[in-house]
Amino acid sequence: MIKLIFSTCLCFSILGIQAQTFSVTSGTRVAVPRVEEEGGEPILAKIHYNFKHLNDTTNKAQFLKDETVTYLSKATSYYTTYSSSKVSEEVARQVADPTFDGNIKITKSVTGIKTFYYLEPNEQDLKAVHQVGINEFLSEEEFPVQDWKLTDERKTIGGYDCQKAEATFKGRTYTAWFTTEIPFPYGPWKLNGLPGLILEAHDAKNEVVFEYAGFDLIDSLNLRMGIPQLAKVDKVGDIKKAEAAFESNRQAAVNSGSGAVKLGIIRGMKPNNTSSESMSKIKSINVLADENYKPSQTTNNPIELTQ
Amino acid sequence: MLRQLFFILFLLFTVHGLKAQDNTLSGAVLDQVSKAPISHATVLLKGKDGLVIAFKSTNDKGEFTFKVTNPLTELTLEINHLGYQKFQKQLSNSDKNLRLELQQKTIVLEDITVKSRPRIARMGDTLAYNVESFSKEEDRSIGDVLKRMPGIEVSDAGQIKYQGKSISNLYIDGDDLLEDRYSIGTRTIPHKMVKDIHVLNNHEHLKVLKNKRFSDQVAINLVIKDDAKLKLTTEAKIGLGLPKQYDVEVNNMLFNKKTKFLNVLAGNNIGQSYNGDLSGFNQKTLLSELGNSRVNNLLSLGTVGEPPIERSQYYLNNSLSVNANDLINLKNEWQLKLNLNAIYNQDETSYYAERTYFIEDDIFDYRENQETETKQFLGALRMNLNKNANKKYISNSLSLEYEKEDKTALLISNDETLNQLAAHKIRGFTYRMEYVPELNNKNVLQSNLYINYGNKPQSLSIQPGVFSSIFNDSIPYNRSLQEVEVPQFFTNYSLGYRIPKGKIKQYYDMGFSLENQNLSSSLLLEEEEGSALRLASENSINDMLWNRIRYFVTPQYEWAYKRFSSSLTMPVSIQNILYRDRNFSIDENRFDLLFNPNLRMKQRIGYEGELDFNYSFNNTFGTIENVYRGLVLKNYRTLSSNSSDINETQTHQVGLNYRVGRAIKLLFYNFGLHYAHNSMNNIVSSQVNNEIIETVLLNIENSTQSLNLNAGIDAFIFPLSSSVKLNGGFTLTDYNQLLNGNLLPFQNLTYSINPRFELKIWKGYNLSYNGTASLTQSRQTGGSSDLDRNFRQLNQSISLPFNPVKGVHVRFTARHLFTEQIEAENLNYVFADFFTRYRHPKLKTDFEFSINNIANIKNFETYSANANLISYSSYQLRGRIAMLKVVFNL
Repeated sequence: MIKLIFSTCLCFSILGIQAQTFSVTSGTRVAVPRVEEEGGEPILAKIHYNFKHLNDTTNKAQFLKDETVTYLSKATSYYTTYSSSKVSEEVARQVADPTFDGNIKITKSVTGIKTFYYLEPNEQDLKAVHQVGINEFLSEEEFPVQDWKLTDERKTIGGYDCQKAEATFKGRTYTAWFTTEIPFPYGPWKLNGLPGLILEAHDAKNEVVFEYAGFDLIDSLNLRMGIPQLAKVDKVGDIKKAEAAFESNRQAAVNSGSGAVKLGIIRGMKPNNTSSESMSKIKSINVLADENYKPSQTTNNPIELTQ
Repeated sequence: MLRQLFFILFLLFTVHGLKAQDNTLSGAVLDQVSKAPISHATVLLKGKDGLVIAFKSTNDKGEFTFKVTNPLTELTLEINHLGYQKFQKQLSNSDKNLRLELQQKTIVLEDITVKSRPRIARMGDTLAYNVESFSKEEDRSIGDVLKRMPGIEVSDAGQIKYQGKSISNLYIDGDDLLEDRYSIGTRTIPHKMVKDIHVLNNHEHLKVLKNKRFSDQVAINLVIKDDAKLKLTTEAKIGLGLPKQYDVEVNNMLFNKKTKFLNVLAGNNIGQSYNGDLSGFNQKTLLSELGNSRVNNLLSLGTVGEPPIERSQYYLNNSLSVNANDLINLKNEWQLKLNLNAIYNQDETSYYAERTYFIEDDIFDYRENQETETKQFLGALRMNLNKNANKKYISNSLSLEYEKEDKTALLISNDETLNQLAAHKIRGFTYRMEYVPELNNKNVLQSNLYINYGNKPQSLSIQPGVFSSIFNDSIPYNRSLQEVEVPQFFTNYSLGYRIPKGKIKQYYDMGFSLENQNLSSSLLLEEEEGSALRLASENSINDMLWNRIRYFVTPQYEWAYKRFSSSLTMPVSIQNILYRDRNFSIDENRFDLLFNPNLRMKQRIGYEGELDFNYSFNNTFGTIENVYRGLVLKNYRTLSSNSSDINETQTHQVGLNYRVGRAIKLLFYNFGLHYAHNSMNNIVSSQVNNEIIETVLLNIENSTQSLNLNAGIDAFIFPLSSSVKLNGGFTLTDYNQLLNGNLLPFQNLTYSINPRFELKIWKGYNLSYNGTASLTQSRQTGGSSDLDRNFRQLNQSISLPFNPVKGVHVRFTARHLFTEQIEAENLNYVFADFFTRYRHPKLKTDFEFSINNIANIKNFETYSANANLISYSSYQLRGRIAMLKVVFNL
């Protein structure tokens, strides 16, 4: 359980906070309610993307970047950030390094996306999960419909034979490469509805890009996804408020938040594969900003240009 | 123009429109058993080329409707639903309203194949390879899988390279159990024990120096699976074969946090040599860094080297080996390591060779036919106690070496029969101490001590005696006996101070090294059997003392900015060489000031690329081997001595490398350019005539240069799920030869290309190919073209591995060797091997059957052309071997 808190703290700090050093005291046990595995659809596969977004047109050299993933089940898909899992992997990797000296150094070269999407096409249902600090809120969204035009262009991506389709959605014209070899009608972000998985997509100006980064089947029967039990928010304003509250008192939020692990969309996932024995070797964690990754803090070019 | 275009477009459109019939295709999708409608199924219309033309999702009643413009006969209807079997139907013109029934399926993801799992993950300087996704049915050891990984190569000797760079350490779950003698590990550790392979770029072994000094080393860490860490694995491989063959191995290993060991007991007579387990891959670089040069074999039985084929094909042996490697992690980060190797070999070799020298207008040739029997014992014991902590590094190691070898040979040279005996014995020890503490001011002190003592007495006895015209007034005599020994003591001590702060990191190192050697030799004659030995001549004796002392100061500066890092080393040393031999009235004492600077730079390019550049200048001096004056009988036809001063070589070296490893695309490529220029103050002069080769070192200024270009690409082809590797290279060498008083400039050009790939031909049937083609051109620059040689070689192996039934693996391999040379016959060899394995699931036992050299080829011939020498050699091979092997866990 310590691991869970640890990784939660870690993800949060990596994704939210710029360079800083803090110490981890190991051995302190915090009572945390167990996450019950309640139903949900078994997750069958996942697809990884490298996501790039030119959020500020006055600074065309820098994109917001993240590593994202869409988990696929029979009837639902869930698009979320993968950089937090990457951080856990990176920690495990550094601990395994023969010359590990107890100090973890992590270079921040991505900005974790803060809104995740849970899609259920048969029910025409889209739910968004908003991450605010370490809390998550749920909102109901309009189901995204893209009117895809198929073309006869094709190319191979990651060994799969893909076909090109185009659609205009929320003010941008997207090109999507899908493959019928993987017959899931899902893709990255809100893009969906093609007769095969979307492996790659980008808008006409290449300002919003989802690059293919690998596909894998998941054979663990424990890994499931379902509608999360989270506090619901109705308006965008509510999320903004929560964000402001979090910013004003980070430490209090961390302290109070750690006790309230709620049932999220993904169930049965191991927090990370680092054993507690290895965790006890960690003395400090240092998060550095990548010199080459300086995305703009202001967004004048959102992904959705129209409502 | 535009209007015309519109018109044509319009025309096309209308014609198309007229021709196309507006058909409606509708249908309903039902469950085959329950006949219930299936909603949300994806219905596709695919064209001839497999492109999706239209798609629909079925409604609540399982219905779909398409408006079709293409002729129905050109279309295929496909229905996808994750709960049902994939449905496909070629449409015909009569299809209007379809009723389609789908069969439920139990395994949801049956049809989906994973073609591009994230197999390699990049995390900072580390690349993590997932072992399972690269391993294949036929693989057993981790070495087998390493060979398949893109970006990694494993040489026949077991040395691992990443992107063309040799690795510095092979860690087993974070511990350096085997140090640089890791080939036993890659050969015996089962790949099933290993979860991931981490390639650590810019690796630093000393924790106290991590991120404090420039590093361009690469290391590999085998991450052991959690469940494999706890249990002791003992494996036995017992093989028996015909004719009278055996191959037995028992190994046991445990890799947990506290204790790690890998012990192997093995014996065979199938041509497997264990000697490689004794030599460390990085040993040579360490000695040359310290400035020590060991005297190697001065004497040999003949003038013919080993054939250019796998050793196991010609090595007629009986070998036994004990190899024990144990490591314990003690309290307070102390670690104790013990490595013990002992090998006994008994082998036979047999060859016939012809050598032809072309010198000016003369041609000299001789023939050599030899049968040799060798008995050899090698032993090494290494102990190491170290502490690799954040604040300090301490390492103490002691190694003891022993080797004894006796060879007897029968040699027929130009119709003369010689009985030869060669023997040597090595005894030596090495002690090494390193102490690297971090001081309170965060600066680091580095102290290094290295002590080595070794001796290798060697003797060569030839019967009847040789060179009677020189030593015995042309009267034949019974026996020549050459004895040589060069005991050596070497020590090096250095103390350094590192300031790893500020913009420019600094390091200052000072110390001394001492090399003390004594070459004593005598060439003796025995006129008749049993008569007293006497010196062959008054100058066939050596007693040379050699003393080299070097005092050095080495400032080193490192500068890094953003993605660029560099290191400049400027060692200045005073060297005193003293050598003395009273018999030849030689008493030299010289002082030299040496400056050997070295610059290394590295620039990261893009996310996954790296460009590095290095330049070095080296002023090196010869060894005792270049200055002894007395005659030494190196082999039955070579008498050697020196008449020059110590040789001095000045070397400029430039290297440029560009490496890219794209982890997701599994695409690795590298490009390298290396240039070296050597100027020397002397040259080896050879006098060749029909009877003997005499070599002397003469004071003549000369230079050599070499240029090497190489490029490699490793790509993982996803649909084939295998790697394609392609390496190519070009080498140009300019050098001089002094033969019978003529200085001849030569140029060698070598082009080579090495493709390797594996293709899936059909389900479970693969084809793997590994080939090397090379073209060597040798020519005398500026002279006549008489000595020009062209030489083409092709060495390829094709293998057909397949798995006919689950648990059974079969492989046919054909190896083809081809040599083409003008004025000589082409050489063409095809060796065929067969291998099959059955894995019994319940007994957890593998049964293997193999036949090597099916065609029973017992002889191998080869040509080589080198400047003005053409050699032809013919070697005896092992014949056909059939082998049955059982592999099981104890």
